[in-house]
Amino acid sequence: MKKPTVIMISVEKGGTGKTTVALELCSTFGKDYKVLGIDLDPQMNLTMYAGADEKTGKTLKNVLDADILIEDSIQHLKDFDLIPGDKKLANASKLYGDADDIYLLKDALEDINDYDFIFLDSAPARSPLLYMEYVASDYIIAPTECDDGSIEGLLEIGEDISRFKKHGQTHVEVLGTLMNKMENTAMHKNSYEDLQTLADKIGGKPFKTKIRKSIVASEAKTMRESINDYKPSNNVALDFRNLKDEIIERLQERENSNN
Amino acid sequence: MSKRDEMRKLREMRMKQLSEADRSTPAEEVARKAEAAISETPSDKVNPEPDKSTDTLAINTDINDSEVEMPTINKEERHTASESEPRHDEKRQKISESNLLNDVSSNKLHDKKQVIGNIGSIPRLDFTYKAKDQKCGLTHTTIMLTEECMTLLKTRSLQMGMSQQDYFNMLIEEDRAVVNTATGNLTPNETLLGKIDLHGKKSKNITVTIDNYKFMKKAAALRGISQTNYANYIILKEHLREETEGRRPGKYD
Repeated sequence: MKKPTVIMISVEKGGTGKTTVALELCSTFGKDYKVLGIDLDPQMNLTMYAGADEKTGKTLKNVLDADILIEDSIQHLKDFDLIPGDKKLANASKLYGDADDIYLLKDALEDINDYDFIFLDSAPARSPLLYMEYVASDYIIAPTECDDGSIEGLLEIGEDISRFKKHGQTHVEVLGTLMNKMENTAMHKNSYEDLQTLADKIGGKPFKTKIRKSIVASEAKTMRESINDYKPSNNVALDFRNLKDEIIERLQERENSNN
Repeated sequence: MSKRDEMRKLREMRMKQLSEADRSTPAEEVARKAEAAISETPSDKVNPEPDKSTDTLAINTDINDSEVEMPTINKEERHTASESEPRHDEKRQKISESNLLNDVSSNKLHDKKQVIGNIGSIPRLDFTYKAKDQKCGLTHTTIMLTEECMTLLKTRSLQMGMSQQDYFNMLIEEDRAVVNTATGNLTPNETLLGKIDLHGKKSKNITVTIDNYKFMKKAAALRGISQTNYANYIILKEHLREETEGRRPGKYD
């Protein structure tokens, strides 16, 4: 059975829309594929906005602590499955301080082969959880906004990946950078050009699809739904559907070039 | 022992349990299944039994809308060995909404002041209902109503001594109770749907509870109609019910 493609949604800066991107990709891909979302952010926003049960007591932390098996923590939502996050993961630096602990997530994911895609929603900070994701993932999608802080966050990803690859701990690649909360301004256009210029340093080109800014993103969160379900005809939902197609295309290109 | 080793050990124990279960005799298997069925909690059921307690406002606003059965989508089954509840793929029977509403149960009316009638076995709400008292919170939305529905909403809420907001939310709450206890697809009343002519529709800003807002989308989907049509449909449904069963008593009655 083919192993699932594990994609982490990550950039080392808060507020760029990682959780929204993770949720929308889970929902959009979930219409056509078997998808698992995993919430690694101690703020548990993916768990909350997906409308999952936050109080099952069977969370990712329980899996990483070997209290339960990974399949025991999976919740079946409308279009995808989800492993809920845990607020106690805020202490990850203390909980997972052993050198070997960066392999915990990868070990857990080896036991599940029933999915086509697994999307990981990351916390913005460097922590053992982020390192676990680098080790377990095949690809990174890095959402960004049009500010210098976001670009810095992208450059840090490039540095981290190089460091991990040097020690032979990961094979992860940047699938692409994603311009999020896009508006029709000169500043946004300049930021997009910066992403193209920095593609080599970051390790991945920006996606042609840009996700437009819309209040619908906030409304959908209030309703505990993806934008894809809440207002499927909205521009943002359309952008994510286009992004899905572009991701599939890039994955196929990578696969062909590896073969 | 490192966490990786603990994880490995837990997996081995589970594999061992599964292989022991495979080797069990048929009698042991039946006993095991019976034990599992007995230990199943009520919350595992997608469609819980209607609350037959003597509580007057017995409509369970705590029911999670995700428990509402959605129309089946033809997808591959998932084969994860998860302990979470599997999706329900049972065949559904179509039921007519008018039959469901007319099915008056033999439950007693324990408090005539508050309970004025039943929807099947579900007590009906009354003029004391307040949307702002619901735990889930409120949200604002805009609905498009026909002229008739706008008039009905204004008139009946005034006559009941309620705000339009509370009246509209009350109707949705009652419909939630109906939908949550229904065991099949809901066939909407075609005559009522035919009366929804959105030419000359009027826009209305209204506050609804968050649970009701989420529910409207699902209730519309279950009936195969749009959310706009649903908002008009429940007002017309109530009007039809009052014409056949009598008006709902209001604050001044």
